[in-house]
Amino acid sequence: MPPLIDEEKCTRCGTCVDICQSDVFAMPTEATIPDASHADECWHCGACVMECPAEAIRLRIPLPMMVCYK
Amino acid sequence: MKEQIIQADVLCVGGGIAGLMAAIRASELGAKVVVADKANTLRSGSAGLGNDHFRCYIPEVHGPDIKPNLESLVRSQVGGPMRNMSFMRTWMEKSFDIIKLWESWGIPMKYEGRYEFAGHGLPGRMLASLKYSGRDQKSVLTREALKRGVTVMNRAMLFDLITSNGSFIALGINLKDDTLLVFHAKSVVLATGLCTRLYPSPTPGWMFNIAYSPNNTGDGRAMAYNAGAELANLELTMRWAGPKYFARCGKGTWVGVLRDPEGKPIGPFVTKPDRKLGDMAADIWHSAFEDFAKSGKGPVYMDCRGISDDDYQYMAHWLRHEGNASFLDYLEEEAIDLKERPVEFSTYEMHLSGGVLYNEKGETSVKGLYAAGDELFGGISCAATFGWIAGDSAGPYAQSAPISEAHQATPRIEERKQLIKEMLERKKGPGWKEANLALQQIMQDYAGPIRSESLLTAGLAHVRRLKQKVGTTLVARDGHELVRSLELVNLVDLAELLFLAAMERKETRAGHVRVDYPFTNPLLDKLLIVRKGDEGPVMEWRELRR
Repeated sequence: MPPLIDEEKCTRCGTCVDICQSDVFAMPTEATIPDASHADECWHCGACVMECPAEAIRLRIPLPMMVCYK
Repeated sequence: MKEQIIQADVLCVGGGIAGLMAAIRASELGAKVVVADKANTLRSGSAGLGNDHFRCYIPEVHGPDIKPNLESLVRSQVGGPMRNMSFMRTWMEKSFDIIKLWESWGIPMKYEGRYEFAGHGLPGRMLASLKYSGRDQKSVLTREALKRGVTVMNRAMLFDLITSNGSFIALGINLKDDTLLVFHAKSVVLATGLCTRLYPSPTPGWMFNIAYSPNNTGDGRAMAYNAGAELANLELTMRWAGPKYFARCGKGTWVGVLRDPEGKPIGPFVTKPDRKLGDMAADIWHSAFEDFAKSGKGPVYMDCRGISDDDYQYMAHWLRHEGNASFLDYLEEEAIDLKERPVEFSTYEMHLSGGVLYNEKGETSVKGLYAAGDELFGGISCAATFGWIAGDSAGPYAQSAPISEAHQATPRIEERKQLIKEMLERKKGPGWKEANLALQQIMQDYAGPIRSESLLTAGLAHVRRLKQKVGTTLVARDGHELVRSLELVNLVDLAELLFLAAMERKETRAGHVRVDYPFTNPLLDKLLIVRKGDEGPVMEWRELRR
């Protein structure tokens, strides 16, 4: 489930935790990588991707949201 | 439970476009202003990721006569069944001032040095949607609010409003530490956006795959009702359309033609992609996608084949500003090239277009209580314009209003504290998701696309039973779940009112399809008002002034 955080790139700054409008992320301590603990409430808006200063987040769009094309 | 008391001249409930504009203006006029936002004003709400078109009247573009703009507005979803002419005239007359203000703050309102109009266009008619680059609009508005001394409280979800000696007590929760927030305000501007999550999303069981922000749950409408203000046309719903399964706004941003599987355009407006017009077929023919599916003639495709690289770049630029960046990234990742591949479009779920009744000064029916933006659906330029106007009214009002006294509100505050305490302490019972899904299935089956006296009567009884369960059995394990649970308390209240209003409106109009009254009754071209009476909801019909 989205979003996916690259643990190598993440600086644990907490921006994604602060910015997410659905409060998807939890970050119990300053040393931990944020966890998408409410991933099923993700709107897939991409604010976390856009705002992450380390470019450590990408959205994996779930299969039920697949775009149907010809 | 910890409590924090916050004093304000003007409390803006919601930090979206309307709430921030109200805060900026009221603060400029000398009021002490607090903005409380459920999320973070930098990216919250339906406009959090941006917008790319702004309905307006610009004399130097449209000419000296405002009438064609007003006529187009009356014909639109935000005009016809919802607003008086004085409201719409104020909106259009003020819109250019707001555009100039935004431009001066650094929101790019011009494209290549000019005012660019495109999308939602009919051939040969005036275009009313100004293209603008709104992706970072909320960081600009937040900065302007902070610059003027506005206090911004993020992760503060407000859920109840009580009038007390001519001023207001608002109750909220700080989502991060479960603190109860008690606001004492001389004046309040409600600006919580639309009411979503009443109806199921296109993906079964996935409540957050919807075009508008799934975090906008009608809290302002519920608060207005609790404070005694009038709600209007709650029974009228609307449905958006866009890429099937990937619910997003912005169908007017696409440069393509809606076609059937044989390649025939479904509408009469365009036969090849046109960047100025888009394809208005789905704006005019709201049920097109469903009609094609039901008749076996679907699916319907948005077909951008044949557009130039320049037109594609133009469309992609605006889609990014319209909040569709993640959609474009997905297409790129999946190697879906819109220049080669038509994509299916569909209609999304129902949501309310009615809501808090506010006039051209932003006033509700309760003195000192204002509302703006999508508290009654109007879209982005309505939010910007009437946010500003609400601040313009609330700022001076608050500075002469009485100081708020809590004692009148004490019983209600205690009742709400008890509700919260029980939700947090209860160990066994349903969570908010269970309750939300239960609500959505009742809404869909009994007050959904097909409505009738017998269905509405049965559904009202089901909603009342669910409301009782929500009030007495919900379990919230932390601040996050508590906020979601309080959203449910408001959603079931609004659902009950919607049922009552839908029973009262015995006609078919604007997404309200009564199969037992299958025509639009010109005598009911009115507002249906709902407000709180001493013994429950009271309804009243009111003429629209055209």
